[in-house]
Amino acid sequence: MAVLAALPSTSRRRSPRPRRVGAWLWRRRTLSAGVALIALMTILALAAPLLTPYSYHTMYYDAILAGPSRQHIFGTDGLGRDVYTRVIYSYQVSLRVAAGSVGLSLLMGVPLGLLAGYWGGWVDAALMRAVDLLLAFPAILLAISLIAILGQGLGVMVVAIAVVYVPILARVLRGSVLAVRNSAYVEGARARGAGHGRLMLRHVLPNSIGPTVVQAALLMAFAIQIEAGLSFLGLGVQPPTPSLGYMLQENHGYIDQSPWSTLFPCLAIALAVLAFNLLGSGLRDLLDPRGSGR
Amino acid sequence: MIAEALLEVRNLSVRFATERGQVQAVTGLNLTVRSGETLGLVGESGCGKSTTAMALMRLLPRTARVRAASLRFEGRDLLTLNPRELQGLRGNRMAMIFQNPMTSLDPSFTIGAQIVDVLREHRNLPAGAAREAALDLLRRVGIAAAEQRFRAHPHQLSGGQRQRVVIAIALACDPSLLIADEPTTALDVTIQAQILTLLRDIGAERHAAMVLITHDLGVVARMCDRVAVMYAGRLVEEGPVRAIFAEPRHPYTIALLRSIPSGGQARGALEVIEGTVPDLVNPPPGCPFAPRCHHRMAICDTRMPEPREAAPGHRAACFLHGHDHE
Repeated sequence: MAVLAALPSTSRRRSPRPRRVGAWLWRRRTLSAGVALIALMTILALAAPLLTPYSYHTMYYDAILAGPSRQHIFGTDGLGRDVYTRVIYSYQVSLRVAAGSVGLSLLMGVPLGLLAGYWGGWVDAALMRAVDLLLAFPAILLAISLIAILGQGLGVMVVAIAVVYVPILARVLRGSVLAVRNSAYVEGARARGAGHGRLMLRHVLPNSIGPTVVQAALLMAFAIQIEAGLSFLGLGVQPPTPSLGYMLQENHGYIDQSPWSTLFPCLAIALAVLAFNLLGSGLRDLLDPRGSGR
Repeated sequence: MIAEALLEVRNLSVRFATERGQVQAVTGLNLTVRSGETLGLVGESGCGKSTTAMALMRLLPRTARVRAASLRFEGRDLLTLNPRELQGLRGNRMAMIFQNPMTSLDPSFTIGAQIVDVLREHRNLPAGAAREAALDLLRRVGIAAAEQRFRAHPHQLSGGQRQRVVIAIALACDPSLLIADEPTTALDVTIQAQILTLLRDIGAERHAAMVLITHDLGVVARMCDRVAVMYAGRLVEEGPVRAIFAEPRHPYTIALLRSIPSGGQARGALEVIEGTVPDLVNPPPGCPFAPRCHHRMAICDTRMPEPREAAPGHRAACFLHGHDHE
């Protein structure tokens, strides 16, 4: 919400001239690049059936491990499947996992962090000890254990990554809530007759959510890596659904004969991680009151 | 002046639990504020002025123990009201202006939205009417180009303008009591006078009584009908402004008046009150000012003098006055 709040001050000088818009975007080029790349990946993922003549599971036996050509621009894999097609379909999984896991963990972590930071005392102590317990486990190990308990699949992976993220987001939010809770304007709002619910949601949350939003964007990048890692280990989505990590797993044996079938999925992962990192840094600049990014 | 008491505080005590022990921030305070009058609450830093104000608003943190024989406001005992009833009073019947206008407005919302908020919260006005009322308020507190400023964020306004907005918010619902905690301390001297004039005029216009907390006796002289002087959590003297300035009774008040710099004085001639404020964790049994007092007597170290009437409406808590050396 603080993002939204920061916008009107600049858009107040709104001008019909596109040059102004261009200048605004250029000054926030990190953010713009991140948003543009994410938009591009989303389009690739959603419009995948329209963007390729192939299906992701058809095998072309006459073109096994082929290099890039006009027919197969990223080449083909060990089973003769079109790598470009499989990459853009894989983005469906990557983006769903990234958005789903971070969304779910925000849904749980934001109320936890807000309550802990706002109420303090035993509420804070109880919630934060639970969070500490979760933080004590290595992230990947925790995710693998959850998958072992709950079984495999996209939904389970989303839940597993979300559980890993909840304590991180709750911690970050709690910290900034602590800083805002005792500010003069919160006290002022209380002196004007605002109740706890209103204080928390309308005054404390919008002024403290910034770092959490930045952290969430960075965690999306990390979620894409975790998804690829889990899929590489065979703990992610089930074949034939294509996933970037699984593509690496299938083709890493051919790496010296035909690097294309691993190179392009690798680049795809790198691009996705870069995009969300750019988004995160861009948001940090935008939300930092001392920066010129405002 | 109307005789009816708007706010009646009887025997108010506030204690804070800290690591060092119980801090006795306010002890046995009696105060009366009548409708429409302005009471100045003076004293040095840490004497309990702000704590008293926060206790009146029932805004003290949970670590504070508030006790009072009565805390009556508009005929209701503030100590027995539930949180919801208190919320209904705050910002509505009793409003507060804080010291620092730079931080007392929410940076995430436009100032218009913040005024409209209060109006809708307490007055149930529809959005359009609330907007109109908010614009009127902005104009009334002297904000030029109110329509534009309505859409401004706090960081786009100067300190003086922000304090005007804070005053507009405080007065939005026509409170009968306005508590202003050092409303001009954080402002430039030139702006201070403007804000004080505004507060006085607009307060009078809306018949709001005011408790003006300050350490500036010059402000008291300009603004107040009566003064209450606090020292170490206790009320040491109280009376009409004229009487206090002309004939201060308590040695602390006398010393305080002497320490005001006046224009004609030679440099370096300022009077200082020797010594420091007593530790409020273990307050001495006698008069808290005794260690710094020029008129200290044996009795001062053993007993706390009760406030006695020195003249009609003028009370002082000192063995020099009204006590026949019992």
